Amino acid sequence: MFSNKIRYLLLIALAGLISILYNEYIMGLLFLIVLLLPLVLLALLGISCGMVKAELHSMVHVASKGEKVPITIQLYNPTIIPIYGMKIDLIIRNRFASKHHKKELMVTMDGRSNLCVSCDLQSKYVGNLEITLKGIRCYDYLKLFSLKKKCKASLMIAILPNFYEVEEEIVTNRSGQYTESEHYSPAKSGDDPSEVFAIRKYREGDRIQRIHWKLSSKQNELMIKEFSDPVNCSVLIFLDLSISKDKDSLAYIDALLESALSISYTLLMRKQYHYFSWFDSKRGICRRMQVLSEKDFYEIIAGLIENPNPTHPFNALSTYLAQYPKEQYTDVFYITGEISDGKLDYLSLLMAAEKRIIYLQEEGNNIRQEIRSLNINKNAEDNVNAIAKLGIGLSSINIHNLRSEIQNLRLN
Amino acid sequence: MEQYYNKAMQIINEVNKVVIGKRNIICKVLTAILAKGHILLEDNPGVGKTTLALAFSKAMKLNYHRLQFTPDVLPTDVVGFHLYNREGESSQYKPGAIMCNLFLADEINRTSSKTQSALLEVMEEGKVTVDSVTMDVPKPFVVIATQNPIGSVGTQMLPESQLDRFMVRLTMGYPDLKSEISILKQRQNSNPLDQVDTVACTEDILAMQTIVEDVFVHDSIYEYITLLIEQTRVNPLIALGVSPRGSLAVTNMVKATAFLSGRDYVIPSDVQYIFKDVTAHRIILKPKARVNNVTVDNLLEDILHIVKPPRIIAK
Repeated sequence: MFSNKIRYLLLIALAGLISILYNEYIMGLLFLIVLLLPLVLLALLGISCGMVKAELHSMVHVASKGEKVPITIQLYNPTIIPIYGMKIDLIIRNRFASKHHKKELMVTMDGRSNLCVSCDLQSKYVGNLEITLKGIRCYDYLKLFSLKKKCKASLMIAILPNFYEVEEEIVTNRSGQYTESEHYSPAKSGDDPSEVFAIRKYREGDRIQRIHWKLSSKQNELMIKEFSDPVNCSVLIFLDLSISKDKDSLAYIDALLESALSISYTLLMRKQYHYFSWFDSKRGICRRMQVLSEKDFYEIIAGLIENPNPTHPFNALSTYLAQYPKEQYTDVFYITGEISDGKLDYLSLLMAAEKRIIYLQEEGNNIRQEIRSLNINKNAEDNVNAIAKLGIGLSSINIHNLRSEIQNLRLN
Repeated sequence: MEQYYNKAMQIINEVNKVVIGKRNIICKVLTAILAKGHILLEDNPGVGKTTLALAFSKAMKLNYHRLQFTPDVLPTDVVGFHLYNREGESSQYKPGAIMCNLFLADEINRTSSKTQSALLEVMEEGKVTVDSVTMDVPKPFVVIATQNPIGSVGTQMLPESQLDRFMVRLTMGYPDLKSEISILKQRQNSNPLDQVDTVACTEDILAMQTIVEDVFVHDSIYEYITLLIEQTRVNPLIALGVSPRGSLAVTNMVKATAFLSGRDYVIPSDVQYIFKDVTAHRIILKPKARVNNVTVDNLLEDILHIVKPPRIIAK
């Protein structure tokens, strides 16, 4: 634009020189037109830029990682003045990250018209994608001037993680024990008479106490009540989102969420009710939700991605233990990107039959290197044995190969 | 048509004397009545749901019954039963609460599924069958059911598949400041229901319903409605879209809307005006819609935005 201004100034100078050399009315008029034209263009630009309206829309509110998200910028020019050049500034930011990136679109617009500009966005990482229409910059016909108009339109699109089913059996079946619970297995019957699981025809060997006499008299044959099997909710998945500053936070958060949610998804598919907990930095507490259905699963995802600053420097397990001090579990899965003495201490305080650390690491890093720095023992091998003696299992997932690592995760 | 249009405006004005600040809702309730549909009012206690039904029954001289649905209400309380008469050695039909023109089913979510089904069956068929004997319900027949979202523990909210039977689901909401002051002043010395005059009778309502049936709908409007409904079936966040019953409900409602606007033809803005009220309760979202707090209203707004209305040019 600066070069255009220089060229135009030269044109004014030339027109002035010509009007002096050729002392005629028409040359003077030409010089006047050349001199006044930029002012007229600026005035027209001011009117059209001031009146133009812009709105941001998207039909997609929820998308998966890597999926194209179409967004539309709707522009309306109510004036008769066409706009030769218009630059649309978009700012795209994943709320889990501090950095944002910009996208610029150039369009032209006729007078008294509506224009829909579409573009596709994609996110490599999970989170809430905030798209802001920062402003539009209009240019005149000769690109001498530009005027900026600020806009306040923004959109939020939730990017969902991918989840994979772990192939191995991750929780041993302990449902032989009778437990008190408000929830019953939808898949099999049990011995709790408070809820009827199913009604079926009598088979030899069925107990007489199980006969449904009213229905049997109606059906004219013996019908049996099958009682329900109460299911307990004694599995805990604890997601620790604390990450040191030297690590790529967005990649780690993405990997941590996908790993934890994949384990939760696997348990849900196998009808194993469980708790899912994480530290909510917005509220300052550990949130814990029961996962009984797909609805609960997506509630958890909503809770996780609405957290604008999920990483935190301190030990979330200590907060969890303070909130739920005397709870007992059959299995605890602790998903983390860092291992420290403090975390091991708090993890050992959790009352559970089986405890497992699932450690997320980058290519080249080794869980043993991290364990070597712990204070349990100076030797990495001894540290691994010491952790095993605490009753804690260790598994690792490479953050750059999530799908395969999660599906082939070995926990037992 | 003009005569009946004026009568409809009089009905709205009469009801508006009692239900203050809710003219929009009153119009939509009357629209549903003229479209031969039933209304579900879902709202907190004390916002005027029963008063609305009473005012309509008085203004339109409709035979009105109200039944408070509690957990012990039986299907026979709704549809009636046969009583054996020993003297005549025959059974006599004792009509249930449903045998009226305007039936107010209060707190329908508090009763058992069996009783809910009995009512919904009558709403769908317009007939009552008791002990293999079928009887027609009186005409016109309208059900206004209410559901209270507060204190719904231990209740059985109508499942989404049953909500389809209702033409519209409306929320009255609290009145604004000015309206609430008027309500307080009005109720000091008298019952405002006493001020409601009868301005129409059952024959007038039946005549209006016949006129609504004859309202003209251009092919482009049918196409517009179908395109909107189709979008509810293909949206990635919607598990269950609007059924063909819903499409028929939209068509009937737009015709009634056109009538209440004084026209004998439908325009696209009629469709946009009632689309959300008729379709919102028929849609079930997928669990993943919860992730970004997406509501049915958001999705319907998007659909109305995406599907361009046809251009109607008057000749």
